[in-house]
Amino acid sequence: MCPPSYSFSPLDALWHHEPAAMSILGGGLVSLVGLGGLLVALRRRQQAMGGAWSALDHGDLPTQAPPPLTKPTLAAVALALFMPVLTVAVTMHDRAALRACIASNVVGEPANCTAWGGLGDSVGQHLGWGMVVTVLLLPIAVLVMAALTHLRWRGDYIRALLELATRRGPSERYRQTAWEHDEGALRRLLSRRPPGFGVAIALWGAVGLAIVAFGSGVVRSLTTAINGLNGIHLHGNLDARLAESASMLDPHLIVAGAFMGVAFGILVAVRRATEDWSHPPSWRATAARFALGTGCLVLASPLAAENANPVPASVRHFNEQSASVAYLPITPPNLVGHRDVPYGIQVDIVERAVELDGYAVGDTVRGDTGELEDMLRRKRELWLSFHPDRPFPGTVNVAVDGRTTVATLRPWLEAARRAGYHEAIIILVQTVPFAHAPLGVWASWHRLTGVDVALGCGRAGAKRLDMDGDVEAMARHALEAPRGMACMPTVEP
Amino acid sequence: MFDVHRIRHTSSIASWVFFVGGVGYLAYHFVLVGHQYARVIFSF
Repeated sequence: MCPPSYSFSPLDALWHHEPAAMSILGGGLVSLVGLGGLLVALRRRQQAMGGAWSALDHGDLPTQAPPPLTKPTLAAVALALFMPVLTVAVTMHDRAALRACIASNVVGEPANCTAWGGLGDSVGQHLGWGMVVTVLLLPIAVLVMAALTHLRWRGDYIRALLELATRRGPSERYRQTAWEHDEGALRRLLSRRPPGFGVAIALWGAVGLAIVAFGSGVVRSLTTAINGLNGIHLHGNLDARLAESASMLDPHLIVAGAFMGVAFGILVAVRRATEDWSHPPSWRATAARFALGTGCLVLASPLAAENANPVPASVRHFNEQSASVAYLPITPPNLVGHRDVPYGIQVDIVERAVELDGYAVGDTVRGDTGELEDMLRRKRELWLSFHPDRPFPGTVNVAVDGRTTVATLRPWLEAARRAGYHEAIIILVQTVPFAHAPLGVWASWHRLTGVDVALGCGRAGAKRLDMDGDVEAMARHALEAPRGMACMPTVEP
Repeated sequence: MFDVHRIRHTSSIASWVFFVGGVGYLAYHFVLVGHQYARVIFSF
């Protein structure tokens, strides 16, 4: 089986009007415009601040308050953020399309799959162009946003100071609060100057890194999920590594829990000690903190899925040897159970429908097995006409999900036996959520369990699968026997 | 009947806990993912 050939060339992609490349280029231009607008807004705000802060530094009260943030500035911020967001979105789409293209050509003729290569390529083999652009834009955006935030903090501070210093007597509004004594309030305010530029840079740097990390995490967890759907499992046996990381006694979790507990304790203690109990906190700020906390949990979800499925150490070797666009080499379905399933005649039981190689041949409720039997017999005769001197393999793959019952499955296996097949590989398809993911249903993969079952119990010592119940229990039962030693009893004619 | 100020203070503290917890959770997973990726990129 030859791997499909595919090429990676951003210039080729642009030349052929690859939509992903074009849209990321356009998004970059939009972001540049936004950054330009931000620089202008920054300059204006710096001028508006004027000598207010230097007056404060000299011990004088400023005479004029700087204006608050304007809507055009906020629009410029939104435009500047457009590029990273678009890069993430387009990369997700691009990688998914590439994966689907490669997956659809694993069997058969080599195909040409082209990819532009965005954020997802930064890890693994190529530094994708989307990543390069993002990495170049990120420090600029961080600096600009930090400068804006820094100026805003100072502006808010000066406005609050002026409001306190210039009003005459406690108004109705202020009587409700603790701000009844101007001098005390002013002293308190003056003792708490806003944080400096460094804090603003750290804040926005963290936000930018979170956006990039989120992008990579989403791309990888999505491609993993898509590969699961296509029966392609990346980097070895997921099942074993999931079993390792699924334990609640994971030392990472214990250490993290301890740190979080200590941090929470300190936070609550400090907050309770410093809270001004006569001055109620803003409910808007409270709601915003709840919203931000929720946002963090959502952002962490793909990262958690990523961590539940760590990249094995052997991955690094592929960096040198493989020139493929694919992050990791594609392997045939790596199954749990007796053995890997060979490509062959495939019967799928999907809810009610029974399909043979993708074509509907029956219905489990009606139980009309005649067409399946006829088609299987014709396939057998066709194979024998091509290979008259070889024995017929007589194996049929039967894919079912965990909800299918043995009673539902049995007539179809019986039909296969009547058509001249002596062995079925039952492929049990189960959807397994990633361990640790707080929103686990978002990220799941398909575990395939392959079980060899002889059709008919003629062989001595074979384990008879004559139980009722669901196929999952039957598969467990069959896996207790050595390969080839589990059998489905049939109604002999 | 309801001490509105107390409710607001308590929910404010709870929101700080939730916020810092969320950021910490994100940071924790970010560090783990970063470690994984750094291991692949720099081969250690």
